[in-house]
Amino acid sequence: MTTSANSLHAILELSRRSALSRRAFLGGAAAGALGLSAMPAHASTTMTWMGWQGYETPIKSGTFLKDNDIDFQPTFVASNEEIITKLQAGGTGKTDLITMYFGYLPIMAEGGLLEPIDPSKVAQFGDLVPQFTAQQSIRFKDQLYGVPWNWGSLPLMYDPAAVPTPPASWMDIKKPEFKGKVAMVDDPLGNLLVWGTVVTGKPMGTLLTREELAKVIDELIDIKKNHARAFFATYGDMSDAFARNEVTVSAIGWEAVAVWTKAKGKEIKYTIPKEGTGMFMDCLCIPKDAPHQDLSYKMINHVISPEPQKVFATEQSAGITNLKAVPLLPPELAQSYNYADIDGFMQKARLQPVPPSEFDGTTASYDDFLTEYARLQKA
Amino acid sequence: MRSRLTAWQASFLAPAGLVWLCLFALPLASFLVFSFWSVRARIMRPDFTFRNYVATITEYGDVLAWTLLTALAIALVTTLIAYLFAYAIRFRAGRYGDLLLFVTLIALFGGYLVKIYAWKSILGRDGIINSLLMFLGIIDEPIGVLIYSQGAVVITLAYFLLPFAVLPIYGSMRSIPDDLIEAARDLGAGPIQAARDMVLPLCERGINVAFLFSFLIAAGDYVTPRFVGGGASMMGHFIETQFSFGFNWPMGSAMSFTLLAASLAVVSLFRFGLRRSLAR
Repeated sequence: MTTSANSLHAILELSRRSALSRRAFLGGAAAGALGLSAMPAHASTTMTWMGWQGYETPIKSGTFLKDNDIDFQPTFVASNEEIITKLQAGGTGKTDLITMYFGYLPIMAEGGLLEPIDPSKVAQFGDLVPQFTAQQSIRFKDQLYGVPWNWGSLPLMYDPAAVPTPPASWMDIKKPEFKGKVAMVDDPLGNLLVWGTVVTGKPMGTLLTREELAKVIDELIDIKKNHARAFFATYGDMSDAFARNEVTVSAIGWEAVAVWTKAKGKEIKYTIPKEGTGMFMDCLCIPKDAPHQDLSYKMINHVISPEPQKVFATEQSAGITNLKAVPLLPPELAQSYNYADIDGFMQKARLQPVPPSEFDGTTASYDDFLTEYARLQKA
Repeated sequence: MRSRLTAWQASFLAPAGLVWLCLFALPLASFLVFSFWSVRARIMRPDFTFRNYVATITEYGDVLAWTLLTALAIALVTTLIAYLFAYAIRFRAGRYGDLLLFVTLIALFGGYLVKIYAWKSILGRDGIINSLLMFLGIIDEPIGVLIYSQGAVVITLAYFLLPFAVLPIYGSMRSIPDDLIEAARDLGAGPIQAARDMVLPLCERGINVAFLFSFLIAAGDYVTPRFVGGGASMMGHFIETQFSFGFNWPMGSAMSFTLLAASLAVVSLFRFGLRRSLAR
């Protein structure tokens, strides 16, 4: 473990040093250039952030950026995995804050991509939904690596113009009337979160034996080959397909898709079928060697404070984590996420960990899952 | 004098060489080294194993073959259309040749993703083609296979690559003197024979470059198949997976070098085949 850790750390260190050298060089060059011209009274701090489009709205809300003289530079991603790629490809040491699906945190922490978070520096940590802060997956080796800040579920999306009655079961999408009209999305973990439970009946669809995992993938291959219109690259693509009447039901979903599709002039709805579904929770995380860690903490505290949480919930139709922000929400929004009974909501939509790192003789590992998922991608 | 000249030239070449070394050669070399390493518990370990290369063939051999076949189809279609188009610009379009060349250059503008989304709009169920066919009463229902199919991938990529293929072929044709064609015609060659026996051999280099561009870009592309192919996955997508949430850079590196080697083999075969057929 130490040898292997040392090897990665050596690479990361090399990357970091080169990044630092570059920054130092550029900083020196910039300082030199500035020395030749008039020196400004002060310079803004450039803070970089990576996350989904729309997630930046609470960061920009209020006077936080102005008060802290921050030049905010967001980078939008199409998937959580893209953030992992960017961090691995030299993004550490340059990125101040990211948002990440909670299930990936242990793997990212293990891979040396994240800084541990000191809960004492997150003033409102105690106000967050306790069911979320208690999740083991936001920790690695007893250290906190993410601050829960929004959540939602992966419901079945449908077009009410073509499907007047919401499908009662996920398996209903295989009915003949939906042949060639089913939307799938290439969201590896998302597909497992939904179909792991549907196929096996297990509440934790990510913790399966290798045989069960193969059955789940077989089922998804059947849907892809025989029922799906397409295996869309992103949720945005799925939204486009609903808007263009290419599809009428989905094998996976996200509440935000309904918001995007409505913006394109098409109303679609969503439902959680009787088997339940997966739930996601996105966390705020500080990447390894974040250049302005004090400001990263300030930004976290700002984002999870009540007013930005309200902004986020209303603009993105998202679930939020600060219980003090819930009374500020429009009643219909508060009801749709059932803040009054989060335990009840979590019975229907379950937070699930990613498969374990190593095969323990029973439960299929994360690598087993990736190998099986490649079968689906190839099919 | 000679050595001073060399040093003088070297001083000019040094910045470009340094950029090439730092931004291309060294990263590539490091990935070659990584491809022989191994991974455990998300951590890369220095090693010397061929396991990643063996796994590339055994686990992704089918994807590799599919990628090469798709790229070959795209490159052949693109090169053929580009040849005909360049021929028309150079020898047939007369004073409109410059206009056609300008149109080709214009096609280079516009982002890659913009072009993909444009084709999604053209080929979709309620896209321009389906709407037109329904308006004309040729079909009653939209044709679904226009998009999210392998054909859509070939069309979209061929459109994207066409300017890259037209320009080198046209460049070769421009260097062919009109006198040469006229001499061939005077000696009894018909227009097709002149094009085949005179123009084609003199464009060999341009055709090779056009094929090279088209094939390598198509073989490395994975965005287009995902957006208009309806889930058709190319090798690049699986390489990306290894580098991202697979946390397996060594495997991703081995897959990349295998694809690179296979692509170079196909390009070399094409070059050899073209040379042989032109020599007959």
